[in-house]
Amino acid sequence: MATIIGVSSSQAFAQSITFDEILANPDDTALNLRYARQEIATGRLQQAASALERILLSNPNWDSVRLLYGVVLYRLDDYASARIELRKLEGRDLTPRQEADRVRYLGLIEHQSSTFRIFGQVTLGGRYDTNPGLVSDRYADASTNFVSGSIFLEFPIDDQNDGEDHGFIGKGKIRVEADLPNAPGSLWFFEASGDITNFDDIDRADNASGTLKSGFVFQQENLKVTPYVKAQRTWIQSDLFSERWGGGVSVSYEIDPQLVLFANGEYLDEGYDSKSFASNSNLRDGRIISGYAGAVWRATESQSFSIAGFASDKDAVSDQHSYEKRGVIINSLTLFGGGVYLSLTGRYSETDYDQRSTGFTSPFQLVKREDEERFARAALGAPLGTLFGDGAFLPEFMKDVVVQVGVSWTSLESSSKLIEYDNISGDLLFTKKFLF
Amino acid sequence: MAQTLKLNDVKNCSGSMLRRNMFALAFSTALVVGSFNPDYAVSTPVVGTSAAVQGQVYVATNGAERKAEIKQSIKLQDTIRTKQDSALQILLLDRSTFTVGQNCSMIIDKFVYDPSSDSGEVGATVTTGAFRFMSGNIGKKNPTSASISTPSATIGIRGTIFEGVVGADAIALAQLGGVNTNGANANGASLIILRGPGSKTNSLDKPGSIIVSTAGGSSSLFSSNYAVFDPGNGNPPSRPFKVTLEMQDYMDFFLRSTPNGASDNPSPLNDNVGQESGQDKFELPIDIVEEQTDPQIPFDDIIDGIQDTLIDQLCSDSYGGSECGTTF
Repeated sequence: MATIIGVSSSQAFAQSITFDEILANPDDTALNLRYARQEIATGRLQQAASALERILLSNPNWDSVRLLYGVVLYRLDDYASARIELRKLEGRDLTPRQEADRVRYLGLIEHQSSTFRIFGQVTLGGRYDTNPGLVSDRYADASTNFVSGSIFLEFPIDDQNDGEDHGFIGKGKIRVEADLPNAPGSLWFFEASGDITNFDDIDRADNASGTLKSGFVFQQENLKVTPYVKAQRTWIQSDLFSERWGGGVSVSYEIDPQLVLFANGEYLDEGYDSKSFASNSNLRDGRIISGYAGAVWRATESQSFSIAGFASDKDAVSDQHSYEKRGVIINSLTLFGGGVYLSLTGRYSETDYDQRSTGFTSPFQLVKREDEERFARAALGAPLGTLFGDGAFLPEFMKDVVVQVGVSWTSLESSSKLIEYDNISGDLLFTKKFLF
Repeated sequence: MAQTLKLNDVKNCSGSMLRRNMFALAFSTALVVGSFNPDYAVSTPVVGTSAAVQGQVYVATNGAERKAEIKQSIKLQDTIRTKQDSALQILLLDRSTFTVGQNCSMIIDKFVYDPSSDSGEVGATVTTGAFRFMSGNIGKKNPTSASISTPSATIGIRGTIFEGVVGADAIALAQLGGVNTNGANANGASLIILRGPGSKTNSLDKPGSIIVSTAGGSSSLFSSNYAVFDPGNGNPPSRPFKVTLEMQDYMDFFLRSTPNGASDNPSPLNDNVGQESGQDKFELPIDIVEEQTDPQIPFDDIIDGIQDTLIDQLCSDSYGGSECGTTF
């Protein structure tokens, strides 16, 4: 990261070059190259492209400038022109790093220019939790029918699931896209994703999920509308626990490159399986309607913020599992260059249940269940190639594997004290993205 | 003596008043640019300069033709003509760039620019050949104030880079793109390609767009590397279609340079082109953007499952809760 910051500092120009100077000296290649770098640093890519094109008209064999020109065109989403420029450099006298970059960007362009695209990513790693079993530090008394108020006898109820533990995490996602004919920017997509978490000792926290999603993205200028259908399954302790199926619509509107508004509405039917360890789960069967809306603000090229409000309404077989939930989520994403990022997320939600939960409270407690959930997460990631430098021992295919260190805190406060919990989780994940 | 000419004054002018006001602006502009333009003609405003010249390029001012040279002024109403294997890049005062390919004929017939407010109008007419236009401050400030005309179409520009071909080559290119060109006029047909910034641009540039209008209708381009064909016979332009590799090779041949000898690197560049280009600042190596825009509650099911397990525990005989779990 120090190297990246050092390079960024070198792009600060002590004296900026004016357009009048370029008008007066358009054939000064050194001046025009400095001007191109200045325009890149200040985000004026079109001006940079113009300057680089000008240099190449007079110096067609300046290969490093042509490579830079190709990548600037790539940044402008002029993939066709970028491909032409990068292909012209095939067999030319580039350095090994330049040739590797040329091949890499050409691969990205070929993939993104294709009308049919498949890509995905796989994550493997581990995590450590202080309370993966989500055990409350409260106790129950042996006679729940007769407890009044919140006074409990000291009687641990969950010692077998109490305590810290470490586990394995695996995640995967694959997405297929196909451009719609005569509809620039619009496409059909299919997405399959799954994840698994397996703890060493505390089995009830073991879980896995799989999601299938398919739909269309319709784009007209700055507006994108994505209707989709979705199916999802969750397993707990290797047993199928829940199924969801339904659909929704997502909408995004780009006011300008720095501000995007988004919204989503979704309807899902839910079915739960009763298990040997959770015999009444089927009482959660029903439907859930949810939605969220928010905005992403890109303050600078390397810093963006997002905020969204969300709400859901669940109608279950048992009103004890029916609820209204509402909350807010905020995120900050900072890019440091070289693929290094820091993501900070915070979430708060309130859930009001339609009926008190007799499972967690005495029948004398008439208060309906109300929950407050808090979540915070920080994740720092970097490609292995950036961490270990270009000339390191890493094989080529590992240089873009991203290692991410994350820490999360989850807290649930409830009117049903027996289900309150706190959990702090740390994770180390390795992720690789694939293009097919 | 420089005077600021308001855009509305220009728009509301009669022909003779317009010419007088344009002269006043041109004169004041000429004063601004005088330090690097020693040979301007007082009666013909300077609108830019020849920034790069390749091969045989000719510029005619008031009918007098000269061979173009780098750093020579380009004036309003100058006619630019290029021959085979030739090209010219013009920098306009508002930072627009005009690149003219071989066998091209064009004229910059409108240029009004107030640098203090970046307002004004820019317009050109291309009668034949291939060209590229990148809009500058005028096009960004007021998207409706920049336009290029061909024999039968007007191209409205909004902060963008686009390329065009006018003439028989446009028909040939459209055929490569699978467009029906029956009845097209070889003298007036044109093909327009939007280059960028596209919607996936990795910068804070606003995506560009253009509107191609003919006597018969109009067609808009919002996606980079899509094209529109104007048959030049008064009919409406085609719907947007994707540029093919063959079309791309053609445009590159006419408008871009190609290596023609051994590698020559006069000045060293950063070996890391990702850093040099700023691309690495934008690169997200994996999908984490979803965390920003898709705030799902990721582990409700896990909580539900654990709570159901807890209910079972509490309601088991060993806890004396024989009645709970049955009164839902």
